[in-house]
Amino acid sequence: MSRSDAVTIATDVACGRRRAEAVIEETLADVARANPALNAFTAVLADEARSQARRLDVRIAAGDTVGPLAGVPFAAKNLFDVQGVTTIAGSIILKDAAPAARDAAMVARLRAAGAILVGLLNMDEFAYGFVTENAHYGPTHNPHDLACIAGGSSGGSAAAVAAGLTPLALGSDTNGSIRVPAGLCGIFGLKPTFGRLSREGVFPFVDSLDHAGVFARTVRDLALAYDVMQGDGDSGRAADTVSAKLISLSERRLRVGVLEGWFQQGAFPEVRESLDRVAGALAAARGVELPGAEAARSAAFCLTTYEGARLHRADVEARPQDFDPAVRDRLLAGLLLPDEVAVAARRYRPLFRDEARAVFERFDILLAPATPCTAPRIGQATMTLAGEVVTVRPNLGAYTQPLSFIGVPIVTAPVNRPGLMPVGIQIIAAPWREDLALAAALRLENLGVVAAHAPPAAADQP
Amino acid sequence: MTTPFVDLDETGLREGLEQTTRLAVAPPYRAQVAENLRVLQRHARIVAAALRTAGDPGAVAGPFEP
Repeated sequence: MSRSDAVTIATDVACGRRRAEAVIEETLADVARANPALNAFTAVLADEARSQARRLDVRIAAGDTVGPLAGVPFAAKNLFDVQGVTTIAGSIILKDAAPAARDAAMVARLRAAGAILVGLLNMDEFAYGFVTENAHYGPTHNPHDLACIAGGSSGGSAAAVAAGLTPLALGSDTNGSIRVPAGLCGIFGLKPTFGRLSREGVFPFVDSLDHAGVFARTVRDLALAYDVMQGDGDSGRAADTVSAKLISLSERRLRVGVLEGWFQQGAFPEVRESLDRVAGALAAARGVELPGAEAARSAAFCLTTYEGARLHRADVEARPQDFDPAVRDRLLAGLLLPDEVAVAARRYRPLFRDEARAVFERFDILLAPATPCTAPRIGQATMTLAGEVVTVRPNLGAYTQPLSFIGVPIVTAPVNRPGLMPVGIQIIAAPWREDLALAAALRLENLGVVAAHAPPAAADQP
Repeated sequence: MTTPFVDLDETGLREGLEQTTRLAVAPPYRAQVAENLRVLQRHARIVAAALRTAGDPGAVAGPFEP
C-alpha cells in the first residue's frame, strides 16, 4: 500500500506525474486485499471510480485546470448519500429504499475538487454506538490489532484511513463518532463547529447534535479537505479556509490548558501519559476545569435517546426485529422517555456552553483524551474505569460527549507511540476556531509528538 | 406518568413499561429496555440537579448557537 497522503497524490496527478486511473487501480487492489480482514467497506464503487479517474486523466491531458484534490481516493460512511446508491446507514431497514437522487453536499464538494469516491464504509446502525460492531454487517476490525474494535460509529471510515486504503474518509459525529474511532485507530479526525459543514444528504441521527466531518493521516490533508468542504454550511456562516495560514498559525504561541476532573476520570495510565506528552509539548497549563461536564454528558445522553427514538418511532413499532438489538433496546427506552427530560437537557445546553465560553476567555486550546482507554477487544462488554466495572459501549464516549453537546470544533490527534495501540487526544477550540485546533495539531505533528503510524500487516498479526 | 420521570421508583418504571406494550416492549426486550430506562433515569437526575444548582431560568431553549 502506498499510504500516500492526499496532498502528494493531488500534486502528482495534477502535474501528470501519476495518472488518476493508476491511483484508483492501486486503491481498489488494496481494498480487495485488506478489506476481508478489516470489514471497513460495505460497498466498493469500482466502476464509477474508474470512470471518474479516466475522465480526470483526459482533462489533465487536455491542459484543464483541476481541483486541489485531483485524483485523491476517498470513501464515505454509508450514511452519506451517493447518487444512484441506496443509503443504508448501517441498517437493513433501509436497504430496499430508493437510491439517492444526488450526492450529499460533502460528497459533491470533494468530488468537485477532483477527489474520487471509491466506496462506502461500515458503521454502527443508524450511527448509534461507539464500537462499529454492527449486527447486520459485522464488526469493523482495528488495523492495529484485528482482535480489537475500530471504535464508532464511523469505525469503517477510521479503519480505512488507518490501514492506508484511502487518505481521506467522511464520517459523522453526534457524541464522539469521529473522535472515538480516530483515537482508537491512530489517525487524525476533525469534528468542526456545529453547523459549520452542511449535513444535506447525511442520514440524520440526532438533529440537534449531528456534525459532518473528516478523517486523514496528516494535518495538512485534514485542513485541505476541510477547506474544500466549507461553504453553504448549515449555519450560513462564511467559509474560513485554513490551509494557507496554518503554518504561520502553528508557530504562534497559543494559550493551552489541560482539562482535568471529568475529562481524566478513569483514564488508563497510557492515556494519562500520552496526554502529559502533548501537554508538555504545548506548554499547557494544568488544572483547568470545565464545570458541569458530567451533567452535559448526561444531557447529551438523554437528548440522543429521546430524539433518536422519535426519528425511528414508526420502524421501532412496526418491525423491531429488523433493528440491531443493541440499538433497538435503547430506542425503545427512548420512546418511553417523557418530553420533560428532553426539555431539561435542552435548557442545560446554553448554560454549559456559557461555562465553556468563560474558559475560552483564558485559553485558545483545551486538551483532553479522546477515550479513557485504548481499543477494547471485539465483543468485550465491560471495562474497569476508576475501579468501577462499566459497560464499554456508552463509556467510550465519556470524554467526547460533553463537548459535542455544545458544538465546539475538535481535532483528534494520534499520539506518536510506534508499535503500541493508538491513543488519541482531543484538541478543542472555541466555536468557529477550527483554524486554531488544526494549527495546534500541526505544531504537534511537526514536533513529532503526534503521528499516524502504519499498522502491522494483517498477515503479521496473530 | 404523573410522577416526574426522575422521581419514579422501580415500581413506577415497571408500570410505565407495562403500559407500553404497543411499543413492542415485550419479552425478550423488556429486561434490557428496563435497564436502559434506569440508565436514562440516572442521567436525567444528574441534569435535573445541575439545573437546580445553576438556577435554571426555566425558559425553553431555542435553536442552539454554539
